[in-house]
Amino acid sequence: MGRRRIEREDILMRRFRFVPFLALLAVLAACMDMDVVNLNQPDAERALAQPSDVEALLATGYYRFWNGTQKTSPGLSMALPANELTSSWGNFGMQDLGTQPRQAWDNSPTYGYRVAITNAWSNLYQAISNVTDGMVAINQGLKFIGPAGDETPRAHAFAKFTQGIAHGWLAMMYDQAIIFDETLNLEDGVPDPSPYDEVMAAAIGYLEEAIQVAESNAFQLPGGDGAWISERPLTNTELAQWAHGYLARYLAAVARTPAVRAQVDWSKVAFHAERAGGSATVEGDGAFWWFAAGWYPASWIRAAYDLLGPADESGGYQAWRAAPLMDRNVFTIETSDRRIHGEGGPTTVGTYFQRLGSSPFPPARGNYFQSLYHGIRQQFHKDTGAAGPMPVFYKSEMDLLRAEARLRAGDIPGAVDLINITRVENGQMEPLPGSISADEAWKWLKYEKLVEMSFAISGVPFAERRGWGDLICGTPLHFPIPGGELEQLGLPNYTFGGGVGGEASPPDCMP
Amino acid sequence: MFRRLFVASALVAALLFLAAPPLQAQNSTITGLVVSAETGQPLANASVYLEGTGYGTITGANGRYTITNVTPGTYTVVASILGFADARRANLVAPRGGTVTSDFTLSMQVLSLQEVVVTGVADPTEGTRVPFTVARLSRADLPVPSQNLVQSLQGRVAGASVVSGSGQPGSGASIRLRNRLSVNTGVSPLIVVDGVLQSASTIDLDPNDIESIEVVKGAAAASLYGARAQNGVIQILTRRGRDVGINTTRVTARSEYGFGMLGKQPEIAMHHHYLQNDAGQWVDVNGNVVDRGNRMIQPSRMMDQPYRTQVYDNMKEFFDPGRTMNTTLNIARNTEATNFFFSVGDYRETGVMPEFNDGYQRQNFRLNLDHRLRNNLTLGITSFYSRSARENLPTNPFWSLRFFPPDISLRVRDEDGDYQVWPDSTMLEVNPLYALSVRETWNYRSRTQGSASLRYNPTSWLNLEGIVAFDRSDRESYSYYPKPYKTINPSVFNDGQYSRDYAFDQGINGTLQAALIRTFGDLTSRLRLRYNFERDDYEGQSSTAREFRVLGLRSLNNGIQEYVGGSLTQVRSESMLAALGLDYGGRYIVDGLVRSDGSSLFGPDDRWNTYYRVALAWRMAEEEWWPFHSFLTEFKPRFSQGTAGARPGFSWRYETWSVGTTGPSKGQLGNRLLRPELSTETEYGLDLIIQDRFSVELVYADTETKDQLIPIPLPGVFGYSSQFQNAGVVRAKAYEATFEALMVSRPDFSWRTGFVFDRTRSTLHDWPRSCYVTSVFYRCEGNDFGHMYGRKFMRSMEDLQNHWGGRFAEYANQFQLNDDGYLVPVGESASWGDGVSQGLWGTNVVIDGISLPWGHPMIQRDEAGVFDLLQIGDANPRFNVGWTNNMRWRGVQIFTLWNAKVGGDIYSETRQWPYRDNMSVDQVQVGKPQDRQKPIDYYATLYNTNATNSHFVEDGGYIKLRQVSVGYRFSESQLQRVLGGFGMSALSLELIGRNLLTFSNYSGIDPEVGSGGAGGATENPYDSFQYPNFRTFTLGVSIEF
Repeated sequence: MGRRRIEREDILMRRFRFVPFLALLAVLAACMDMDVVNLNQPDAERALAQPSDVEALLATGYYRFWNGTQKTSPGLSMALPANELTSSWGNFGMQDLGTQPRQAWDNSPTYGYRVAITNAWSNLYQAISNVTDGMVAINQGLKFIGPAGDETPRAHAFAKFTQGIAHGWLAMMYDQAIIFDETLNLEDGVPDPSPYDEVMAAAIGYLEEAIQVAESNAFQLPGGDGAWISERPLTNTELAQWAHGYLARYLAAVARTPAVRAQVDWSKVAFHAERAGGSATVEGDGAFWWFAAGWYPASWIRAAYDLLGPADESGGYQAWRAAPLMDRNVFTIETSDRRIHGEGGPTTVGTYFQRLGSSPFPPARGNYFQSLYHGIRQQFHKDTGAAGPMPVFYKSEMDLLRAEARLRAGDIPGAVDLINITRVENGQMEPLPGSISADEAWKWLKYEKLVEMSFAISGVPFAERRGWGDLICGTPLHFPIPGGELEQLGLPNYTFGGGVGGEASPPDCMP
Repeated sequence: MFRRLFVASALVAALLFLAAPPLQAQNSTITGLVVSAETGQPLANASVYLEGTGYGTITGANGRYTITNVTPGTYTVVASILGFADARRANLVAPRGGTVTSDFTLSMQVLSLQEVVVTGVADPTEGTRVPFTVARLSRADLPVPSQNLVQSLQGRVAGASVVSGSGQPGSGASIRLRNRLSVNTGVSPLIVVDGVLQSASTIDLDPNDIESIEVVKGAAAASLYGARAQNGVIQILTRRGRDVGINTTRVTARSEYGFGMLGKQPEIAMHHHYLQNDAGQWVDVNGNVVDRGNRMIQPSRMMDQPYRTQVYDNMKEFFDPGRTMNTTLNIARNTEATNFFFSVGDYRETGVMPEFNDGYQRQNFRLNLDHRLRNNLTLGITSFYSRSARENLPTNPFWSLRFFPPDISLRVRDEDGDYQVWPDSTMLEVNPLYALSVRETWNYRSRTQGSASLRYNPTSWLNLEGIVAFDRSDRESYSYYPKPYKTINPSVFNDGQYSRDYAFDQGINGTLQAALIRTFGDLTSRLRLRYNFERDDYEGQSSTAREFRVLGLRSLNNGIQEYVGGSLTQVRSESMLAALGLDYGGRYIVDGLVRSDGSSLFGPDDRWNTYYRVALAWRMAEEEWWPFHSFLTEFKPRFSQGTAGARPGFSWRYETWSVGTTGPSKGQLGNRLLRPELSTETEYGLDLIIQDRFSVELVYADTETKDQLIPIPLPGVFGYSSQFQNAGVVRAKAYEATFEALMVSRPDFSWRTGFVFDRTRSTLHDWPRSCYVTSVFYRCEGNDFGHMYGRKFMRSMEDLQNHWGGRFAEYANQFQLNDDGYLVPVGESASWGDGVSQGLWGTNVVIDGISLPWGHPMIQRDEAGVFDLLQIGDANPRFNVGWTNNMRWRGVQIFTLWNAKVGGDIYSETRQWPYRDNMSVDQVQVGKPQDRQKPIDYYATLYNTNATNSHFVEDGGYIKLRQVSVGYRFSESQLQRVLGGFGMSALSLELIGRNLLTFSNYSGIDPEVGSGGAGGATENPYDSFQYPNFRTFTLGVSIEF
């Protein structure tokens, strides 16, 4: 009996000796929970779990705006058709946009350099989307409570400021765009695009609301880590000043032709320019905050002769302009403008530009692309790994908008006073007399403004030349909604420039 | 609920079977003799086993075997030995308490079609009884070990496309089976090694360990593997100890040593287009000496001037033959209850630039063990470990070397003793020798794999099996810039940078299955029930330190600037399967299966997906009425239809935001309904065998893959960039033929030849989003994968009619086709050859108010005058063929593998870029008649600022002698005559060549090119300065004790 029991136990042991193996399988299988959480990237629910998260989302508005407007695309891309910079490298569409005779913009979703216009579109709408989410939450009663108590007005002002500058850029760059804010719900469908002037009207409305809220509430936009606008904290007063500055810029820049620019309410431009509070900057950090104009070396981009030529006193620029395109060889500018070369002579370094020994671009792509001059005003930016102040707008831009307002009002001496500020201080040139002709005043106003903004402020020189009628004939007056976006919106593709339509045409253009 | 019930039932059933009392007292014995058909001699070390069970043994020196303690029942007995055809005896009855005899006669040669396959079927099945396509390669088919495991299929399996996109040592190869079926989930098949689902590249594995490879190519065959099997399945079995004689130990050492070198030397222009005096000085038009930066182009603008100073061929100087060495030692032992196979390997390959790069080295270890715990219970263990190191190229010399003019020496050093960073300040590129000599960048990999299987056969008709498999790939890399690091322009690297990355993939999969094999008269049924789970984890981290505080210190703590990053993913999956195979009289074969797959990769609202297969075959030659029994010994029409899937990437179903230094931002919109792609393949096949000497396998496969995983862009106003959706369809067709012949099959001479052919096409339909070009390949409705789109230079008057709305159509008389075949404007009175003689180069022809450069090719424009996007090429070859020959005459063995790709374009960026700097040999005008000479501007037009254009599309077809080996195997008696053989039982010497000869019109170094991107190298024949594949010559010695 005892032996039999032992045998049975032995058999049972044998029968079940592999149970642990199967049990292990069963346990592993039972652990199969397929509700795996993405630990790398949160969804909206996790990203916006707290009011501070919503505020952080809203706070990305200006970074998105900067990312979409001041970096390579469209920073370099828009500088080529503006004859501000020159380069025949294909990168970023520079060659295509700088080629003469001008050609139509390739708006195919497959165009290799479509990023020249898609980057601004996507980033600006991300900026708008992010701040609009914040505004929706505010309208639903969300309060941002901070050390200073209820900080909701700060978020409100910033959201409106972002909506304003983003819509303003859309109106400046594209022929039409979608106006979007917290009053609309995408579940009701995507709104139809509106013409650029309506978009600009909306932008002005947002910026005026931002000014009103900012001027009515004391606050400070965070700086440092988690900064809303780069490193430096901004007060409510400064935010209002920035809004005035952008308003002044956009009111003038929206015009597509000289006739339309003439009809701009210049008193309003001057009003806002006077309240812009001088120069405004953000800090580069070498990682996220940098700007194209300060980044690219002389082997990539050069200053266009059409930018510097008006200051040339040697006759070289006139000869260059008169030559056929393929015969426009490089020449050395002689000028009293110390921004272009130093007192030591035409080959010495100026304060804004440097003459280099040769031009890097392949001759076979067109001599008219060649230039000996590179902009060095912002070169420190690259040399420091993209650290240091980056211009949002200079006081000179506001002064020269005021100068244009005076000029258009017939006040030539008043305009000259403003033109002379940078002409004398920065260019070390003789001041212009108040008795000069209107044509002379216009020439030096344009020159001064473009030289001051070049290699610094992206996009705006294109708009200024457009409004002055100084684009090369055939240059697109604005860009279409990007081709891929048109497909998503169910709209037909279209384009501008090169004879297709929507381009700078005589007499409002340069040959 | 169904899933849990299935699992519980399977476990309970398994436990019940385990609990069943053993019946050893009344067990049976199977015994017999195994002899060679050709010689009649007994075969020692032949494996004899009962199919589908753990019972088995090895024949002794007299060819006899005995399998004892067999549970009574009906079995299929298989006898197998390398180099001979398997022999099977079905329905052998093992009587209770008795002995049964079964003798076997094995033929030395067998057609692959007749071999037993295990992949994709419910149970091991003879190839002639499988109703769909399964290709099989055994060790005997692979006499030359490939450098990469998947390369073993190249030229041997119809429909298997293998491309090594980079020849850099330690690079993997891309493989596609049959068709490309997906826009975004790639083409890589599921690879299973000894039951281990591979979670990372197979580059870590040693091809010397391969015992056999089975390939199932399409959804119909691969449906057994469900949602991961859309691209087919490759199952690799590694060697085990069971083919060694009982109580015998076999030690084999093999070493290969040789050289690797470029098969074709890249060329650069040795002429220039500048003004130079006789002393070799640069001069202006007046003969005044100028510096290099201001040298002037000669008026003719032709590249026809020789350099008058010392010249250097920087391409030739850079590449040297490198070493390659591969050594393995393996030990196999077999006893009645236990066998094992142990191997160690060491592989070293320096590549073709040994002066600057140490290349790749790998060491690997394998131990495979089988142990019979009881007569009906077998434990199998596989374990593998490898580690490797590869020195990366810190800069791509195949790029920058092409741009240096030959009057510039790259070997000049600066005051610090470093190679000059910028030896030619007129150039855009820097000297690659500087980076190669001062930077360090290495990759380290380790791979650990293991599996344990327990097989239990409580009865002759039931087989229970549990498998747990583990696979872990660890990868580390570092990149180091010393301080100071020299650059042309200020750079973040100037003050040094040290980056260190770490990542691992870890997969565990487990399977519990029951196979029931019963015979009912003429009907044999095989039923398999299976539950499987998979756990896959990935984690990666990266750290970077910049701006070193201390010189020469390579430490992450040494940086003033420090950055970290990382990510981790988890994938959890389960599946259940029921497969039934029916075989009636060996004539009518029916196969069916249903499988359900669940995975965390699928949207939570569509988590489970079902797959099926139905397959039929009729072996007509088995019918009594078959009129060609003596000639056509196999004639099997077959049909199969099945489904399989491809899973989404980890993040695709999620709504993703990013939270970084700049705050949260929206990424993609999530999709709770995202499901795997679904391929439905219908395969028609015909298998023929003629007198057991020739086999032909013809296949046509038609596949529709719907629910493509496509990121659909969203209008900008949403703030989200896109959303992955199931949309779009890929339709594919494949034609395959496999021919095999045993040309001679005698004991002292055998010759086997094999030929494979395939042609495939895959087309996009129901395209749901905007069209796009990825590198040069176009994704748009109605286009095939492989269609190349870009700018097209006009080549005919018909092109002119369509150009720019036909604005030049009425001026056709002012255009001519030049000697390059391009339509060029020449005006009303000139001819295309008058450029030099009439001084027309550099002038314009004004037509319809438009100035056109005289004699220059023109790009086709659309109605608006924008450069049109047109088809400029097709990467799809017309067909591929492979041809193998395996001959043995006494001790001499010769093997050759030829492979041809007929047609199929390549886009060569490698040829295009040098046009930018006038460094292409195409641009040199020396030796051309005057009317054909063209200035640099002509080539600048063709360069087209590096825009993708038709000028750089080339025929990429080739014929390659991929592998050749000539060897001699000394017999034991021969060895004995020399000092008693030193204890050796065998000695082989081989001369091996790989990638030996290439016949191609392609201008690049090697037409086997491929860049990355969706689909991998097989899908992207885009030549972009990759490390070319090179040829190797080696001498191999193999010794056996």
